[in-house]
Amino acid sequence: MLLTATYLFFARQLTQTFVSDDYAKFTHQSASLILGLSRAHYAFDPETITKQLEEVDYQGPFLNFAFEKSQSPYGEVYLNAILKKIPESTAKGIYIMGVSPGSFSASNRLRTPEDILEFDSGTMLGKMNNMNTHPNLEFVRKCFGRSLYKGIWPHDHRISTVFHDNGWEEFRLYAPGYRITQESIDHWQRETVSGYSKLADVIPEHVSDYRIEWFGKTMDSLQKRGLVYLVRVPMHEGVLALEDRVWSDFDKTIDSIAREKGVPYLNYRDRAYDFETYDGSHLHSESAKAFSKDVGTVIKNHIVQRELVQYSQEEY
Amino acid sequence: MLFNSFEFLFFFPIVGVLFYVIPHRYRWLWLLLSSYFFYLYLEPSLIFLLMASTCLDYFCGLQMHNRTAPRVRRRFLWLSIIGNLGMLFFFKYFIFFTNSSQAILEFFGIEWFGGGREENYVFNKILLPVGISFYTFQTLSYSIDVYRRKVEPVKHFGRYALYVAFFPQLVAGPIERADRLLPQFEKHIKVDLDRIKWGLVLMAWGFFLKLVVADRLGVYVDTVFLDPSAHRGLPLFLGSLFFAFQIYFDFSAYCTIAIGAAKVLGYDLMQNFNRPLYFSSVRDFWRRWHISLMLWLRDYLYVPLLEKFGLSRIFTVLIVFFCNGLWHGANWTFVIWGLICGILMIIEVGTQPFRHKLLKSMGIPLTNPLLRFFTWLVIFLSITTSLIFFRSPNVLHALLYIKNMLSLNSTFINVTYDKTELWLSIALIILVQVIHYYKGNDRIPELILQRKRSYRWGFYFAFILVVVLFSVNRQNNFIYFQF
Repeated sequence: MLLTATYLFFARQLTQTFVSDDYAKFTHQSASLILGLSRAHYAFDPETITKQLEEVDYQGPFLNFAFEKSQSPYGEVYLNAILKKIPESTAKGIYIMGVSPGSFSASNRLRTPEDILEFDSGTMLGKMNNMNTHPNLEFVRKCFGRSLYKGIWPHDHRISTVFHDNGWEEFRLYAPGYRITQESIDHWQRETVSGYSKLADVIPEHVSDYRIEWFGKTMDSLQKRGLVYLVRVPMHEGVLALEDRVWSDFDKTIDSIAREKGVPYLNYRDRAYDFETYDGSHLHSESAKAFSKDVGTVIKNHIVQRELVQYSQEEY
Repeated sequence: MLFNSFEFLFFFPIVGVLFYVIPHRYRWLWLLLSSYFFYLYLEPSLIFLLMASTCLDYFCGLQMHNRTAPRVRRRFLWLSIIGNLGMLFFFKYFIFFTNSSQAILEFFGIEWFGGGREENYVFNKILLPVGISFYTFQTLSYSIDVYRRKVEPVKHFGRYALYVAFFPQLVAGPIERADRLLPQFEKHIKVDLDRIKWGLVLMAWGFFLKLVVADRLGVYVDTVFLDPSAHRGLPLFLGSLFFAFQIYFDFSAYCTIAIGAAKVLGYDLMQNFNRPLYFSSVRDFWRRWHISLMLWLRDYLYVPLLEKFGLSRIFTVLIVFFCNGLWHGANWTFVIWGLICGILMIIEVGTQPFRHKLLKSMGIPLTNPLLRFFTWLVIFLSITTSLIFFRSPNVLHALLYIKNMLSLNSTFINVTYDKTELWLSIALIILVQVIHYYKGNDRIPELILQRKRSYRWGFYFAFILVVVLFSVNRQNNFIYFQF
């Protein structure tokens, strides 16, 4: 009794401070979501997108509900979590689905759909039942991964990183008393490219039919709640070359799925020079804001044009 | 059920209280039902294996005892060995052997029955029953001991089933011998508050080791082992060092909780660790580490291979350590880890005369503290490096880890971006080692129970506060559950 009471007291205390980079994604529902892996987690700033869509009739707010690679590849577990995030009444949401080969891959150890489902069930999204409360004590118990004393003695996390309540993780190149040099960025980018290629040999993965199937099901479910946009986030050319080697007709495949489902595919694969990454794979703050603005503008234009077409069809 | 789950917080007090309320003659039944419930909670689908193993060895034990003809007795022994190892092989090693054979055949261009496509492999989905390696070895030791007439077979089926399934040590040991544990189930156990307190303090120490120390080290270890290509030099070295401590604290925590829980119920389980880091040689290390398994391998593999089959000592050591590695898991990484340990042992024994001669000629006594420290360091680093194979998902991963670890061009060790945690981890390792130096795991309760009441209660409250505030919220399994 005493143990449980003490635990609950300090767990609650922790939730009043900074819990972890993903905690904000488990505290409230959102009618519009950003989905995908870590690239989407860093690349989409919900605030910038919201600003771009000010004149558009849609249901907000936006929440960046993308996670790192091992946590949110497309699958049954991710879809179930997504559906819990969206309020029942939502009919005009906007869903930005980040796509990259990583979202559809599975380790070669996972051979059957059951294997993949079992693996996904062990992720943060698989373990969590309660996605939308604050304080979320279930998150603390199952996913926090650190100790409750952090509620009294706060974390020292990277000065370069800012965690926003809308789920976006902002990676800053500059902060008071801190500056990341171009030399460091070049070094990280080289390291990422060489690291990815080594990792592909060490932990081989395959493109999973199961993930592609559930990607389709996710799109179907989200289309019932609003508009879906597929977006490929820009990345360093070395990383792109690696991805092309692993899955040469990735864009073709996504494009055909998008056409089949009637959703736009915004492919930024060749825009690395417009939107720079800090490590080869993830956009830094300025790039992310510019990229979010660009995507927001495209979505706005698409919605306006779509409404015009609908209006003229109705008139006709 | 996991020891470190909320469910266990309710399960154990209920089992403990009712155990003492129930009359002695029915206690075995209560413990057996509780043990099966404990296992069912963890692994509902494969409890029949546990029961099958129990029935097989109970039957074989009785037959071996009742028959006098050596040939007939030997047949029942082989029935038990083949039955138990057959189950173990099928559920734990079948996929490993088929995949390894498949890889070899494909290397020579021979088409496997799956036609090279993974979805065609028939036995891809075989569940690994929790604790199968532990209870298989425990039941095997019973059969072999009955055959050797070292122990009398048990007539009471329920008590035998309890010996196999006794929940504190069912899924991760210690691997108990029949002559130690079975007679204890016959004894009438009275309420002994001192013994119960001793057991509870042991359990508390085990929880501290697991939740506060081992799981904390696991955060750093998981970060560096997840992607060794992302790090160079020192963080990988520290990761391997932390893993050595993590696995030690994790497994010894499990055993300490098991021993403590059994003690509360009035039973004594064997010690599985005897301050393993205070070793003086490789041999000494293996006398202190996972004692119940090493004794099993000595009594039922090493000695027979040496004495009955007349194999050379070097070859026998290699076989024993090969089996030690394979026992831990169906993966070449475990095999390599086992073989490295075996080779270390052979090197130590093989070079001993030469080393002693050399030291004598140099006038350095064997008791020289500097020499002893240097020996300790070399062995410790060798074991730590071998454990990289133990922790890695495959051999290539381990090799990449070692390669990057040796390229000492990075001193940035704060890979989890939390300096407090890093220093806390190091401080806890030192703290536990100091406590172990003075008391060892088994005598920890003396630190508390021999003090005044006010001190004791102060400790209990402080313990609750420390565990709540400093345990890592991850719901981690014990590492040895996978074996």
